[in-house]
Formats: sequence, structure tokens, C-alpha cells
Amino acid sequence: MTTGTALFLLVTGLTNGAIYALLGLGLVLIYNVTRVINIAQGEFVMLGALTAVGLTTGEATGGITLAILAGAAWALLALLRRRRWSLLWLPVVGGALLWWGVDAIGPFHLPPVLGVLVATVAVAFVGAALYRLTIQPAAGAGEVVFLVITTGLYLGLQGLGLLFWGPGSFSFPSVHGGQIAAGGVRVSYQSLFVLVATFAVLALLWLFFERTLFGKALRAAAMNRLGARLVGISPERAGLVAFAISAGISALAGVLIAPVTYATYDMGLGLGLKGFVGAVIGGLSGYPGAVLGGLAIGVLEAFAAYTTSAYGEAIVYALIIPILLLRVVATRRGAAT
Amino acid sequence: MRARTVVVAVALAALLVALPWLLPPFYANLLCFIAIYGGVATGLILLTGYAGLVSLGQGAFYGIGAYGAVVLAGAYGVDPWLSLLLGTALAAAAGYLVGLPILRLSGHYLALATLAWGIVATILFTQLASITGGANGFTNVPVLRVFGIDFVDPARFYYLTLVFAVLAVAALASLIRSRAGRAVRAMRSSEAAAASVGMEVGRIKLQVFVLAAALAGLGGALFAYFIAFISPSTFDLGASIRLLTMAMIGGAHPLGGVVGAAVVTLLDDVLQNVIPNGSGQAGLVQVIAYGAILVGLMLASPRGLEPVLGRLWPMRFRTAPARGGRGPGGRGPGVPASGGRGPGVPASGAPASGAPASGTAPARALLEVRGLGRNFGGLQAVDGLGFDLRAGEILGLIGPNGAGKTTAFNVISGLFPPSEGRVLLGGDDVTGKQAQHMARRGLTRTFQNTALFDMSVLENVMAGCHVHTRGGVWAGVLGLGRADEARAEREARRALERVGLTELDVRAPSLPVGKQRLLEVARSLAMRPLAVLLDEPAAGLRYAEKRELATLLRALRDEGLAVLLVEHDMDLVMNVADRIVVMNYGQMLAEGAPEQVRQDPDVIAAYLGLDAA
Amino acid sequence: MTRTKQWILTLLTAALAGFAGAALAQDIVIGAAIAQTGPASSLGSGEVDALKLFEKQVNDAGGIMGHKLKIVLLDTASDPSKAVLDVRKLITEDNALAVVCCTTSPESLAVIDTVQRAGVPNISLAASASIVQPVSDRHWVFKTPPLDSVMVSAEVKDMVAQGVKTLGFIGFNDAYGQGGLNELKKALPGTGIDLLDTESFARTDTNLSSQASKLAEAKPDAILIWAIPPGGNVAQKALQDAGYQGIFYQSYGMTNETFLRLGGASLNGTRLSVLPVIVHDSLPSSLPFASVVQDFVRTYQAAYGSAPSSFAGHAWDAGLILEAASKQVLASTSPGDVKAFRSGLRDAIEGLHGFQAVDGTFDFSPTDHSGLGSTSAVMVTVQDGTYRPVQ
Repeated sequence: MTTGTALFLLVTGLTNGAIYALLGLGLVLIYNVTRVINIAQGEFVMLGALTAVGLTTGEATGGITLAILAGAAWALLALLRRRRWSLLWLPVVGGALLWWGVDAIGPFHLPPVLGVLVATVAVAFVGAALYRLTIQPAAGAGEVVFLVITTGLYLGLQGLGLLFWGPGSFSFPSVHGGQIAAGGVRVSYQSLFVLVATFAVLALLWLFFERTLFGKALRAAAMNRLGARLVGISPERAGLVAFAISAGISALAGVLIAPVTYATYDMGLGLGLKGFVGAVIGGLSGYPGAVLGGLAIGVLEAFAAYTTSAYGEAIVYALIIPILLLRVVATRRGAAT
Repeated sequence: MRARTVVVAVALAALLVALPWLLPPFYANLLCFIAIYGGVATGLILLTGYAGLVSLGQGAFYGIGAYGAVVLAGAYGVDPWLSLLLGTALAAAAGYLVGLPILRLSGHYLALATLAWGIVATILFTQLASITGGANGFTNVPVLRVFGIDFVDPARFYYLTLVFAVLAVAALASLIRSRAGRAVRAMRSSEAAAASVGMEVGRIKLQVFVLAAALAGLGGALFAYFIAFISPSTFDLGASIRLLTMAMIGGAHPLGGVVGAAVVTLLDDVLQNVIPNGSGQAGLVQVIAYGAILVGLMLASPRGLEPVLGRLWPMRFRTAPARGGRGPGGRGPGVPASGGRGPGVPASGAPASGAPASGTAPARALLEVRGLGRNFGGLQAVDGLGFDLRAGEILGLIGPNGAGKTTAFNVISGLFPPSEGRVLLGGDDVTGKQAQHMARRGLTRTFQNTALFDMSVLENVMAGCHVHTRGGVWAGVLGLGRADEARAEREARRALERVGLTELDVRAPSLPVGKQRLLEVARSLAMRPLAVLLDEPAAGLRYAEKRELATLLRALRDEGLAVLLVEHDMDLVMNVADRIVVMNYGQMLAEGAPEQVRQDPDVIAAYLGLDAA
Repeated sequence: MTRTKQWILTLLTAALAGFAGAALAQDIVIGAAIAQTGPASSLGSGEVDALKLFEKQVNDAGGIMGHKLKIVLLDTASDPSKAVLDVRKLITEDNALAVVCCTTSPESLAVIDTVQRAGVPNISLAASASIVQPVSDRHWVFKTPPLDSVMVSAEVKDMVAQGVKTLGFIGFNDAYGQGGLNELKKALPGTGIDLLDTESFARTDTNLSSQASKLAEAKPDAILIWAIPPGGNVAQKALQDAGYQGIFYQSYGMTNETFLRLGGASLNGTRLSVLPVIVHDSLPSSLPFASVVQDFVRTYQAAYGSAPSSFAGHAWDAGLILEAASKQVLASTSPGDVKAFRSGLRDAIEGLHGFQAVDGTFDFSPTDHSGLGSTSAVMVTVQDGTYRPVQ
């Protein structure tokens, strides 16, 4: 392996790792606030990518349909419980009418940036709605229960993906085609953009959690549900926001990766898994940890695949076990109790 | 066995046997699937439902059993029925080798580690093509012949799988009601408390893991012969998730595995029939519906079907009728019990319990602490602590907040090792040994936040008998050790009477705090300990309860038990303790009789500030 | 769900199933177990469309000699175990006279035991040669796609013609990819082509830069990619990004609409062997099956608005073969005599010679249950979003 190759693999690994990092961020956010391990995290990536594709090429508007359906279900639930969210039916119905009306006129061809924005918002909304419909009702159940629930979500969402977009693959325009050569290594603009975007998201999250009142409230809800409630923070609202932000981040990740790897209805599970691995290695509690873990997995993967593509994946997963053991031993050494 | 149970069992057996003939021929296939998955899921219920160890990698053991069996039979000509056993053994061995490292992890780390293991296994199945046939699968599966009968027809194969499922369910039911089962459930409630009554937590986890792997392996081998073909995709992450789903739907009950498997398998089939094929989207809608139903089931009942199953077939420990030794009036000594061995009687002949009454110190101390120190990074929590604890005395360990009492307590009881110094129990050096070891040598403790097991009061105390009874996981599965269990139960009842608790079948966590404390003491007594360490036993007790506790402690001391008491309640300590050790800033401040200590100026200064001295 | 409800559900299911099984004795019932969901769904969807269209076309024309054709479609979810279950259901519950299974090689291999024991003819839509070999153990099994060895040989032959001396390979680490590699290794000896490096990747891998850079470093004259979309696209793109300048060869598994759409202009010059249906408009009319291909494409296009994939073609051929065989058997046997009809169908299929279909001319025999030869592999290059046959 030459230095050039090593550098190349490093860059490749970091680019991939950035996507895993974004997924890991979303996972950690949800876990911190709701104690749920979201097996369906990768599906938000898929939805974001495919919805953006559909909006810009006018091929299939499944994601928006899903958002409207989810909203309708949510509104129905709220109506049955006579909560304030029953006002939700207004924008949902209105949006639906608008949507189908415009759709009848002709296919959508939004400019990519607008497509990305709308897709991100739609998927974030779906995330919040799914929280309200499937996670919140089970509040207080054991963590394994949530594992099964999110597994059901993963199956359902993937099925919906297949239903709306079919089994084919779709591409999405890069931010800027082409590559730059830096130090003998070719790096595509898209890869650079992915890295920049990841750190931007990380910075924004940090600002949110450290500097805004709501962000701090979210952290409080994560640390102590009862205590947060006692000071007027609603764990339900915290969960809603957490799911919305997390889904939005994942949707963004999907749009970033689509130009490189093409979007398919079943792209979710593999990505979600790697994001989960990265997040756990990073400790599953801290955001920088999730990012570092994701990047680490990406780099590890790149080098392993180069060394032996047949067993590359096996090596990456096999290494997780000693890494986890080391982590536990290290924690125990400094244990206070 | 009651007559009603017998009738139900016979009827059920008849129904199960007749099932293939009552349904259309295709359904024998589904029944085989249900039985096989059911058996495997039963193992997973033991692992996840009872022991609390989440495994996302059971598919790997399922596959090892399958590949092991058919490769040995197909490629190496091993007898098919023998290959079943070998496949199972391979899976069990893999369980042992994988379990050794990863069971040191817990919670999400463990889940991730099992996930990783599952993925690695699937990749190995695909890549080791020369052995496994690779991605195309292994087709050279011979016919399964057991005792000269060929098992090919689904209806006939069903009976083989039925035996497997029944054995799995019976094994779990037997195990869960045995000593080992109690240990598993105790471990799930509180590992620290389990260790404090001498349970080898690490070993139990490994045994359970191996058992679950073995069941998965046998199921996999049967599956391979049933389909007469295997390929890696059958044992991937999807399979592991499916098994976990079955276990969760069934719930923590021996029947849960089979019931969960039935629900999931039938759901697939029902959806296929109900959703019209004409739409062309049938497959897609089925997948979506499947996901939605999964979510719905979990929301409707997070504990799965366990509440229903638990009422059909309660897993309550059957309390044996009270045997002799329960006279109306006087109580014999609760410690030690009649006849049985005591826990690790120290080799150097320290006085056994039953030693002289309080006041006269025997020749050698039971517990000796010398120069004990413990630091955390830069903080010296305990520094140069030393004292003796003798049989038949109550020693109080007090000090202001942050004095290091709890740390010292935790070190002595084996929760974590000291940084320097020594601890001797009955003359033997037990420095740094873990709580289980201490328990086996006669030292036990209670917990500040009562660490009771989520079982009945009686079972909690029976858990205390763990150290002087025998019977591991395999004995539990086979239903051996009933005599030991009966003896343990008698002893537990005695201990409970000793502390004055009468509601034996109530769930321990639902007791009021005062009774919970007494329960913990009873559990400790059941161990037949030489020394008991009590961690703030008076916290949360009412005045009357404290008086009861004090009376009990004095009585135990009079019988020769050594008691170390960490307490904040001055009244209780001064009243009950024979000697008091005062700590401050990690060091020993004073030692002596209560009156002495009470008037010591240093002690007063430490508690109330220099001005008060 | 309480136990009572569970039992009711089971009984209801049984009733439903029994009901479904009671098809009219006059109908010719064919069972089809296709991967509509799961990893192979992109192949299966075309197969489902073709089968439905075929059923409609046959019945609109009055059925097979007056008997209605009924295709019972089940989803295998790309899972071999489910495929076995589905086929057993089709055989015992629906009394299928023949089955069409399955979309992928592992699934097809899985059901061999079942159809052999039940004595039901099966037509597979998958690639691997081991589905129909050894013929002695595949009495009841046939397949419509050409053997993967046929497709690989065509490409190797082209490589020799292009003067390729060194070759690199990258493919899926599943049955399809492994199958391609195995056939390649069998086809190379004696050609003078040296296989320098082989890489593999998972179907869901999103980044192939590592494998690509390793292959590119070896600088082979040509690189053979053995995958399906989008994997094949990603691989080629990664290799191009890694600076590889040589000849690209792809496989016939790439020929659904996604390949060209995703690749665009970057695919110009790529060479691959395809099934005749892919270049339906450039087939020389001298080819005996050209008209069958064009009829199929026209019908499919009219019904679905887009050209069929090669997988749809495989399914159509299964239909054609079963229709022709049924006509022969109906002369002496009634569909109600299930056992005899199944046996008759099998014999009739095996006896088909010079049968023109979409994938080529089928010549079945007791020693050949694949039936297709080298005319079923057409070598093409990609130019401006279309396939141009190589002269």
C-alpha cells in the first residue's frame, strides 16, 4: 500500500464515516432524550433521499404522501384525545388538497436546493408523527420493547419505500461534479461537501444544546424525566423535537450520499447499522463521540475493504468486540463505584 | 399433580399429536416451522426474557447448528441423527467461545456485540464456500433417518420437531423453577445483590448463553433437514431480529417461545391469504402490514403474551407444605440450621457462631481490617483504616457525610478492591476478593437501597441459601436437586419467622420499606453467615420499626453473629452497638465504647464543628 | 391476541386456504413463487408483470384450448426457506400443475428437493447452471435464462477478440456474483488471459473506493463487473473515479432500465453480453426467434409503457413453454387428473425442440434442461444511452 493509496483510503473512509456520523448523531439524540434505540434510523435516510429525488425529477412524490398520511393519523389521534394538536388537521387537509391539486396539473420539478429543503422538512415531520403514534404510547416500557417497535417501523417504512418508489435506483445531482487533486489524492467536491456539512450539523447541534433554552431542556429531559417534568419540561414534547431533528439530519444525510451511491428503497438498514456501531463505540451518550465513532468506522471499513474485500466487512464487525471490551475495561479502571 | 392438570395436559397432548390430521396438508409445514422456531425462541426467552441479556445474534448459532449438521452428514457421511447432536454441540461450543469475552459487556454494548457476531458469522457462511457451498447454498442434504424411520414428509417431520419444542419448553419450565433459575432471575434484578449472596454471576450468564446457543443449534439442524437445503441468507440479521420478535411477542414465560413463533409464522401466512394476490403489490402490502402489526402488538402489550400465559400456566414456585420443627412457641436458633454444613468455615478455626454472649471477646477476631486505603484518581476516600470485628458483637461505623464509610463498606464487602491494606476473614487473606467469594466464606451485606430480587418474599430468602445448596443450570433443566430445594425452603421459612415476616408469597418490591429491610436481613440469615454488614438499615424506617430492628440485631448478636453497622441514626447506633468506629476524611478518628466516643472532643468537632467542642 | 382469537384465526385461514385450493377443475393452474420484496425485488417485479400480462393475453384469446389459465402468484421475499414454503403451498393447496420458481439461484436450488419429491415440473428463472445440473438429479427442473456459463463465454470470447491479456474482476459476494466468478475461472484457461485480481462487495455497500483503487492499481487491460444495478453502476463509477482507463465489461444482470439511466454518458464504450430481448430492435430478422421477441416487446410496451427487462423475458418464456406443453398434454389428459398432467407436462417440456421464445431457441432434451445455446448471448456496447450490437 503506497502513501498515496493510504491517503486516498483515509479520505474515502472519512467521507463515508461522515454519513455514519450524521446517522450516529441522530441515533444518540433520540436515545438521549427518549431512551429508544431506533433501528429505523436508516429509513429516514432513504426517505429523505428518495423524496428529494421525487421532488426534483417529478417521478414519485411518495415522501410527501407519507408525510400527509402520517400527519393525518396524528391529527386523528389528537382529535380522539381532544388535544391541542387537533388543529393539525387544518394544515394536513389543506396541504393534501394543495398537493393533489398541483399534482393533477403537472409533475413537480423543484430546483434541487428547494427539493432538499422540502424533503428534509417532510421527513422531519414524519419522524415526529411516528414518535407520537408509535413511541410515545409505549413510554416507560423496557428498552427491548422499543427495539421491537422500531424494528416494526423499519419493516413498514421499507415496505412503503418499495411501494412508493419501486425497487429501482435513483440518482441525485451532486453539489458540484468533478474532483480536486490535493497532495496527490483525488477528492470529489461532493465528498468535501459531505465532510463540511457533517461538521456544520455538529456545530449547530452543539449551539442548540448549549446555548438555547429548549436545547438545554432537551438535555434535562434526557437526564431525569421526572425532574424535567417537575420544572415544566414536557418529556413528550422533548421526544417529538428529538425525533424531528434526528429524522431531519438523517434525511439530509440521504441527500448528501445519494449522488455518490444512488438511492434505493433498501439503502437504509446497512447505513443505520453502521451509524449505530459508530454511536455505541463513541459511548452512545455524547455527540462528539458519535461523530468520532462514525468516522472511525468509515476509515476502518475503507482499509479493511482494501485489504480483503471478501472479508472486509467481517473484519470491521469483528473488531467491534475488542473495542467494546477495551471501552468497558477503561471505564472500570476509573470507576468510582 | 392435580387431576385437572393431568386432564388438561392429556387433552393438549392429544390435540398436538392430532394437529396435522385436522388441518389441510400444507399446514404441517407451518407446524414444523412453528415448532422449530418455537424451540429456538424458547432459548432466546431464557437469555433475554429471564436473564435480561439481549442477543441480536441468535441467527448465527442457528446457522452453525444447521451447517454443522448437514455438512458433516452430506460431505463427510456422518449418520444424520448423530449429525444433529454434533451440530448442536458445535453451536454450544461456539456459544461458549463467543460468550466468554462478550458477556463481560452488558446492555447496549452486549446487544451490539451479539449483532456484530451475527454479521461476522453470516459473512463466514458466505465466504467459506468450499465448506458451506457459499451464497448458492448447500444442497447435498441427506435424508434424516432416526431409529430407522425416514423423516421427509412434513406431517411426519412435525412429530420430530414437536419433541424438540416440548423438550425446550419443559427444560425452561423446569429450569426457571429451580435453584439455577432463581439465580438467573436474581441476577437480572440486581447483580450486586446476587453476588452478595454468593451467586457466580459470570458463570451463570455463560451457562445460560450456551444453553440458548445449543437450543438454537439443534433447531437449526432440524430446520436444515426439513427444508433439505440451507443458504447463508436464512441465518442473517433478519433471522436474529425475527427470533427476538417472537421472543418479545411471546413474553417471559416458558410457553412464550412457541406462542410467539406461532403468532409470527401464522401472521405471515394469514397476510398472504387475506391480501388479494391480484393487486400485484401483494408482497409489498404484506411487508408493510407485518411491520404495522408488530408495532401494534408491542404497543398493545409490552410484556407480550406473558400475562395471558402466566395465568394459563403460572410459574410460581410451588411452596412445599411446612414440615416439622415449627413448634408453637419458642424459636430455636435461626443460625445455624439443623444439621447442614455452614458456609466456608474458615480454616484457621475462628469461633463458629454460637460463641459466647456479647461482652466477652473471643481469642481471634472474625474480620480484621488492616491499613485499608482506597483512592479514586486523586481523591483518597479511605486512608489507613483498621479495626477488628468479633463474633458476637455489633460494631458501628459512623462519621459525617463524605467520611468514606460507604467506600470502606464497599471495599470490605468485596464490591471493589482496595488500593492498599488488607482484609482478613477468619485469619485468611481475602483482600480484593469479590463479593461472591466473601459470601462463600461467610460474609454478607445488605444494601442502602434495598436490593431485593423481583420475586416473592420466600424466593428472595431462598436465594440466600444459594451458598450452601447445589445445582447448576443443567441440574435445573433436568429437574434434579429437589431435596436440596426442600431443605432450602425450610431454612428460608425459619429465617423469615426469625425476623417476623409472615406474607411469604407477596412480591418483594411491593413491601413497605421497613419490611423490605427485614427481608434483606432474613436473606442474609439464610446464608448462615458468620458476619453481616448492614448498610444504613435504619434509613426510611419509622421509630417502631427501628426498635424492632434493634431488638433483632441484639438477638442475632447474642447468638454469636458478628455485625458491622454503617449508620447515620445516632440513637440506633448508640443503643445497639458494642463498639463504635468513627471515620472522618477517610481516616479513623476514634474507636471505643459508645459513651466514650460520644464524649470524644474530636468526634464532636467533626460532627458539629470546632466551636461545639 | 388471545389464544381463542388465535385459534379462530387459524381455522379461518385454513378455510380460506381450502377455498382457494378449490379451483375449477377445468382451469390450468400454474403456481409462481417470485421475489416481489427483498433484495431480488428489482428482478422479480419485471417477472410478475410479465406473468400477469401473459395470463391476461392467453385468457383474452380464449385460454389454452378452451381452458382458463390461472397463475397463482406468491411472494418469496427473496428468501429460500419461504420459497420452499410457497412452492409446497402451491403444490398441495392450489394443486398447481407446474410451478415457476424462482427469481434467484439460492431460492431455485432450495425448491429442487420439494418438486422432485412431489413430481411437479418447475421452471426456474435464475442463472446458475447447478439448477439444472446434474440432469440425473434434476428430472423435474428446467430453466429459461441461458446458463451463466453461456453469457460469460460470450464475454470472454469478446475479450480475446479485443486483445485483452490481463483482467480484473469485481462482483457481488452473493450467489450471482460468485456464480459469475466461478464460470469466469472455468472459461479463462486456454485464452491467454491472466486474471490479476478479484474483488467483491455486498449488494448494499455504498462505497467501493477501496476495492476500486486496488483493482485500478493492478492496471488490467479490462475489468469485468458482475452485479446488478445500482451495484454495477457504483462499481464502474468508483473505478472511473480511481482513474481506471481500460475496457469495462458488465454482466447481463445489469440490463434493466436503471443501468443506462444512472450511468449516462460515462457508460459509453462499456461492453457486455445481453439477452436478445434487450436489443430487440437490432436483431437480424434471420434469427428464428426475432419475431417472438418483437411481439413480446410490443405487447409489454403497450401494457406497461416501457420496454421489458430481461427478467420479464425469462418469465414470458416460462409462460410460452408451459402453454405449448399444456397444448400437447391436453390431447390425452384432463387438467383434473393432476398427477398425470404434471407428468405429461414434464415430458412435453423435455421434448420441446426448436422452440422459439424470447430468450432464444429452446432445445430441451433428457440431458439438457436449459435448452439454450450461444445464440442467446448477444455482445453489445453501450453508446449514448442505447445498446449497439457488436458486429
